[in-house]
Amino acid sequence: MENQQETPAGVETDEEFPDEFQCCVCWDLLFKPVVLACGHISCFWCVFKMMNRQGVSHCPVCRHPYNHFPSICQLLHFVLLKLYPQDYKRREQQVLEEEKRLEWFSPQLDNCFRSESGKGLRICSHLPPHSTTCSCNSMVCLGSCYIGEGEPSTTKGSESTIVFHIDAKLSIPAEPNIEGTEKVPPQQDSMLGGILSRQKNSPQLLITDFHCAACKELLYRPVVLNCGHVYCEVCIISPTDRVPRCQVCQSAHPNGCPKVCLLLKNFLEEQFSEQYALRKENVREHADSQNRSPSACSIQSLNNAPMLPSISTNPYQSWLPARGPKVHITVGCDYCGVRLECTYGNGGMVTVVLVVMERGWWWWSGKGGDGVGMVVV
Amino acid sequence: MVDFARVQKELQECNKDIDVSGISIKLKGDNNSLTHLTGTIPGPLATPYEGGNFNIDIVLPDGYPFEPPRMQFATKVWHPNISSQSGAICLDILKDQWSPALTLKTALLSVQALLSAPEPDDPQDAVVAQQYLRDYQTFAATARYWTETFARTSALGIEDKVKKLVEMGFPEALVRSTLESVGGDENMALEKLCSG
Repeated sequence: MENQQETPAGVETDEEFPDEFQCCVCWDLLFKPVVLACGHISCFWCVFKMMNRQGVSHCPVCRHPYNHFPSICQLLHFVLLKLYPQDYKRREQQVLEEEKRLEWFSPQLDNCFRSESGKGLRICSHLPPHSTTCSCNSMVCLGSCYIGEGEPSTTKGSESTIVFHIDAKLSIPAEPNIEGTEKVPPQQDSMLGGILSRQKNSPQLLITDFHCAACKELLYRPVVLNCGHVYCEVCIISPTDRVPRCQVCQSAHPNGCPKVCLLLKNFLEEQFSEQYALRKENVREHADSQNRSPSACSIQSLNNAPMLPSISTNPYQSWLPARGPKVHITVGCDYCGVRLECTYGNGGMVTVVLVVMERGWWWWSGKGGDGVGMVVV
Repeated sequence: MVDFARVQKELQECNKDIDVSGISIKLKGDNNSLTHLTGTIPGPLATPYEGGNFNIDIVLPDGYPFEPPRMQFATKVWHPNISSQSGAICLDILKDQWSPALTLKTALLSVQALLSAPEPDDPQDAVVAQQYLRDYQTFAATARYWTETFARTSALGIEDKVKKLVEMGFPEALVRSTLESVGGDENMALEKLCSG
């Protein structure tokens, strides 16, 4: 078995990723994983292409209905990157080519990953997955890229348009400075391959990679909220709020309580069996001391909560000045999930027009183009 | 754009356990297009379709796997939910109940299950459905006869069919093109050749 690890640098070795990490839609390694409320996982673009543009969408596996496009689960993203670096990199290249062809881009998770040096990778991997103060200028740094301070005004017409003046610069990720991926000389690339292939049988997974965003302990029965942040099932229950709310990015989770992400749960049980068993005991003890089963009643009440309507049923409400754009913490489309890259501090004034189509599809246009894509100022 | 990488994996995966499932998927004809396929399912045991091998034409739409594959029987079959004329299949998962997590193999398995569990209340072929409801004995006999006649012969290789028809006195080139045009069904080809 030792020989297998001594793969010569630069030789393409397909890491064998287990079936559970295969996306059920594209049959390849999950890339930019999105966890639906039912706990099933697909790639960002697979979910994007799968969503029903006119009505309720359904999970491809269990047909659980949903209206809102969940954000990418960063925790899983980094875990997959650590576990299967070669395959994940291959997927990144593949998806990027497709994105360039279509000129539609998925949210960029970090620039460190894209710069692709071994050092960068390590720094990135040790970033707490729930970090709100990530220094990279990506849209997924929820909270830090809040650019909703607009002055919405509606104009008359067959379609309602809402104009936002946003004090930020939008840029295409295909700019050469971000596009480190292709600039890496082949030799360096293969050196990295060598490092990674040696790591592959002993991935440096740390228990801190799997901490609950609330209790900061190992995730027990993990659930992934619509914003992509991961919690223990018992930690998302709030006695005051009927709707689970993310403590990191403050966004509400639509449609009751999400189900446990079984893939992640099984993975944790296997990887950290002792600690997981300990957590299980702790949660039980805690529940016993409170003389009730762990939040079972609250979970039930959440499950019975009415399904939040799709954005399409009242598309303007969240944008109205009185309510503020609190749903839209990033520039992008809550309905289709496409996010625009933002850069702060350039002083550029961008006008983004969001056009609410009759069926609830959000399109936007700005200087440089319309549709769902990127605008350069 | 059809996701060819996935289709290729599906074909490999399906043809791997062909001995267990009996279900196979091949490229259709000699054009090497991954969008035109032929699936074969064995008739389920203890049904009038037992012993037959049914060929199903599969066309993958551009949106596959986000849109369902278009499937219809190339082999003639007597079944309430399958058109005895065109081979069109009435099955929800091939229409609005399709999910991208389903595969060509699972879809063919569902078609096979449909053979053993007809839904005469939601018919594709009204005549067959009427017969199924009113006179099951006749229905079963007809279905069995059709299986014997059409589903056994279509198990023959294409070369055997060509040989058989050439022996009847038709020119080989014409036999081949006719067979191709009717999806390899020997009886339909004969009918077409005779009618000129």
